[in-house]
Amino acid sequence: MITEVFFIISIVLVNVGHLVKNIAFVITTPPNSNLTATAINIVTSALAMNMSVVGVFFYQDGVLNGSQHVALPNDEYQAHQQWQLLHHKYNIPLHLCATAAEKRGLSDDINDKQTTNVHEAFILSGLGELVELNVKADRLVQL
Amino acid sequence: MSVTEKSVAILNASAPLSNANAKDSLDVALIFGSYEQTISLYFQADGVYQLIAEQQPELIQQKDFLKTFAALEFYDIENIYVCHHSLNQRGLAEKFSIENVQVLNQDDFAISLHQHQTILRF
Amino acid sequence: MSMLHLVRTSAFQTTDFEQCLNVIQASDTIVLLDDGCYNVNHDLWQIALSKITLSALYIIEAHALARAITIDKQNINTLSLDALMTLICETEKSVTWQ
Repeated sequence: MITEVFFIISIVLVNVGHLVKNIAFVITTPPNSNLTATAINIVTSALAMNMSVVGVFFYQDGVLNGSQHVALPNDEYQAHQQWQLLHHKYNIPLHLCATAAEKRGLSDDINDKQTTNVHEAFILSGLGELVELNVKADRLVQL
Repeated sequence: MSVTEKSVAILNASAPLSNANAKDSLDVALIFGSYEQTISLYFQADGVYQLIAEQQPELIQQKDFLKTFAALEFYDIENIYVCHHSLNQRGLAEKFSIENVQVLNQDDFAISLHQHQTILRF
Repeated sequence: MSMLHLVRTSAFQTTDFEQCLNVIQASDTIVLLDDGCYNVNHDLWQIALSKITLSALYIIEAHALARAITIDKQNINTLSLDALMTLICETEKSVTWQ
């Protein structure tokens, strides 16, 4: 019988010269591009610094990150899965631009039967979401 | 929660017809305009081709989305800047498909771009 | 009013970096990342050095090493992605050249 003792430690991090900020990202690169790995690493850095990532907006080929059926070789960087992990761990809203998604065959209402090929970690949003993110965030970074 | 409104600039660097950057960029400009956000458009490098008059995209099965530039005025998007150096490099005259275009020399173009808080580039 | 320039493409391939240098101001910062790292060996880098103080020129170390790019501290400073995030917070605005 092991009694597990949980120590809850509150650490107040005082970062001199750096305030926690709200940041949002615009992603235009597809999951099989190394540029997307860089983007994910940058988003991860922001989270590690306790910044609030208010949302990620996927535009142009970036929407492909939200496909349910991305299959990359096992020994390669799984960008699409990394986004899903970030979403589930940090509750970061992942917005796919609906019109960009449609153009690339991504839909949550295939043949009007509400079948979807968009992964559940992502939501289809209008371009207006980009405007909202720009208003909410202190910084909007395009990658 | 009111925040000082951030001024947005879109920097256009792509020619209009071979890829979707120009149209995707214009869609973003119009959405900011429709939300009444301050937005300015900049055209540099091959982006200057987007505004050249008398193009005929329909000849290559391309929708003439360039007509949509006329909608900018409707959304009060009036700050439109073109880089003079880029026009020169391409031997282009200052004949544009819309009015309200300001041609700036490199220094002024740079100074103007620096005035905005959010910059997106297509 | 300074701006952070994230340069992600090679000047040997596209004119993105040249365009960047055409709008740069003396108080700006340049960060080379992804294939932008190759720019440190391009002729245009001399222009960057003439316009921006060395302390505001950076290259993401891991991205340079991945590409076997030797980093000469006389030409550029190294930066981690974490430090890049700090830079993004500290600079009022950024533009990405890709």
